[in-house]
Amino acid sequence: MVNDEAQLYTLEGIAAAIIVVVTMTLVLGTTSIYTPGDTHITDMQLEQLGSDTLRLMDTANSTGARSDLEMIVATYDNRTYFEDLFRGYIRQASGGADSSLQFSASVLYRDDDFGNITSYPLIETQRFSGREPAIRVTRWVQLETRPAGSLPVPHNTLMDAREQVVLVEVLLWRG
Amino acid sequence: MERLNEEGQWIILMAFIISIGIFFLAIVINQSTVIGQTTAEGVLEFPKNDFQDLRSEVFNLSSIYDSSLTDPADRSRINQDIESIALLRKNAVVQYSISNPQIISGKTYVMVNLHYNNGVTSINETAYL
Amino acid sequence: MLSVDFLIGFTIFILGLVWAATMVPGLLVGLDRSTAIDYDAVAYRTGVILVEDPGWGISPNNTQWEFKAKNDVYRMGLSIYREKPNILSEMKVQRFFNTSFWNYPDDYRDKVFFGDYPYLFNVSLVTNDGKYRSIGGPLPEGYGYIRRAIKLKGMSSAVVNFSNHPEYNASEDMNITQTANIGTFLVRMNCSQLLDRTVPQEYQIDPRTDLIWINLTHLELYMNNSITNPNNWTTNATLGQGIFGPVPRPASEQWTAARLQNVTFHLANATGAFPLPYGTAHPELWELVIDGTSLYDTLEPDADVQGNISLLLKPELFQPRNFPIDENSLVDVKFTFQNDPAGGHPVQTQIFYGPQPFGLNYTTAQPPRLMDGALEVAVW
Repeated sequence: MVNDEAQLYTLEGIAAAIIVVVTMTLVLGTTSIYTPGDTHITDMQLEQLGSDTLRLMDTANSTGARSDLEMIVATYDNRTYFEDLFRGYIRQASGGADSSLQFSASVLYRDDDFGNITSYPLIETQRFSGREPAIRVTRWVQLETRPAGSLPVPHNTLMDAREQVVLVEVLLWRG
Repeated sequence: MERLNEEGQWIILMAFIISIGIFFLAIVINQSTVIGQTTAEGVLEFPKNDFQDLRSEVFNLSSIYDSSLTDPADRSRINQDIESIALLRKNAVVQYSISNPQIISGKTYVMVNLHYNNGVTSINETAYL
Repeated sequence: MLSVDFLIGFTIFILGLVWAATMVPGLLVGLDRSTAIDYDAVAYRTGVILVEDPGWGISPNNTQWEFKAKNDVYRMGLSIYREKPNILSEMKVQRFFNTSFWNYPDDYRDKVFFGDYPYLFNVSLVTNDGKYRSIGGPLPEGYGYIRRAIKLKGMSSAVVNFSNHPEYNASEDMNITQTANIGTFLVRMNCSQLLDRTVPQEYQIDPRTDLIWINLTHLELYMNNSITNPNNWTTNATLGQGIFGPVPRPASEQWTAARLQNVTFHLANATGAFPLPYGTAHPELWELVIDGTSLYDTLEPDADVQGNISLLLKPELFQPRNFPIDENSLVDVKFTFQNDPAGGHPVQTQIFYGPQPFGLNYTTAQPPRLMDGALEVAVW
């Protein structure tokens, strides 16, 4: 009888310990799938700041005037101004210059004859490798006709000379 | 066997109770981290800036419908520009319509209908400008 | 009566439990991070409220909370208009950063941050003119943060440069009948022009929400004291003798200053001035600058003017409790110049000939300037 009970108690103790430990391991294994939220937070901040910047670039300083963004897209030639302006808005806060920030801007338009949507680059501060976590901000811009400057081939002939709305798309990342 | 029934089983019973406790604790903790993630992600996923941008562009268009954008063919081409670019680059179904000016209690208004749906968020708006 | 066997089983169980207990900290590791995430979310939310929302006040319910009593403010947002995110209103910004009006941090918690948790925070606004405004304390470690780029809608101004406006000069045409209105100058604000809905809100000159400067300059050209002033001369047309030509004004008609008695506000077509406390100091309603140096809180300065008068109309003036206006109002700002018998120049009042009031509108006035800036919110 003593033998019997002793084995049962020990077995129960072992079984109980195994249950607790296995539960704990299982619970730990399932909960620790945790993608760090920090990257999302910087993405969120960058996305908001980028959208703000595009929105302000598209706000003219007086009524009836054209906005800076509209001018840059419409003339195409002075597009280096885009970088000055964009960086200017980003660094305006007391934080100072943010030289690690890279961006690549392009313009998307629709060709009415074939219905194709094509894009041409506006400015690129660094080649986007596709590996960096980038976020995208966009802004609609309304053009009275096709840009005045000479666009890269073949967009010069592809783009319609009509009143149209194009999408300015900016990829932002830290390089 | 009687003693086994009366005393022996409470060890294993205790283990079960503790396991269940750990399990529920883990569920609660897991929920809280999920909330933490989705605040930042939810901000990124919710197309607030996209919709604000679309809104300001369409309102802007409505303001020039009477002056520089009077040709219905031009209007429909621009409409198509916005709808197809939004569908391709933002995976969003966008539709808008701008009514002719109408007089409501002595003032002229333009009715703007906006529809935006990117599969996750759907926004509809009717504005009188 | 414990047996050795029972003790062994129980010990194994306890050991297992202890092992499991050591794993608990690993389970809680995510919790530390989630509090930091929460702060960033609060900073984001606060940034959205401040930059994209015009706020809300009660009695009456509208977005003009910046002119309301503390208890009537429900939510403080700085945007000029719901449809115009990122364009901030100067008056809302001034009221928001007024720490003698609000108690830090309680009022801000109630009206901007919300939630039950007692957040601490720092909100700052930097504009391109170098102006820095902030509320809140120094930043500790591990705070939530957001930065927003904004434009601040500044003040509008209308400049009446009298060197370009000979038509108001009473001395210009000596044949006019010297009527009673000759000592007054009228600036008229036609609200149906100013508040025209086709002008986008960010460029609108709205007396109810924006600061407006009215500057009268080069008044000296209307006075008969200047050698270069053609009005220093009068045409002597003595009929019957055939003598035509300029002759200097007699010394008794020359003066170096005009005397501004008061400035009053009228609704056009209404009789009499609007009942406002013109004679008492109200820096929250108006500001009067005479010749660049003098500063008056009242509109009855009774002071000598040599060249320039600047009047700042603050939006508080046009709130319903003071001087209510709407889209159809015609508001006249009347500058009245006084006889100064003591000065010995009774003709002093006769400088203006105002057949038409000066119209303040989008062609004569400088619309508000949009100034770039950045708003930062830190929460901990």
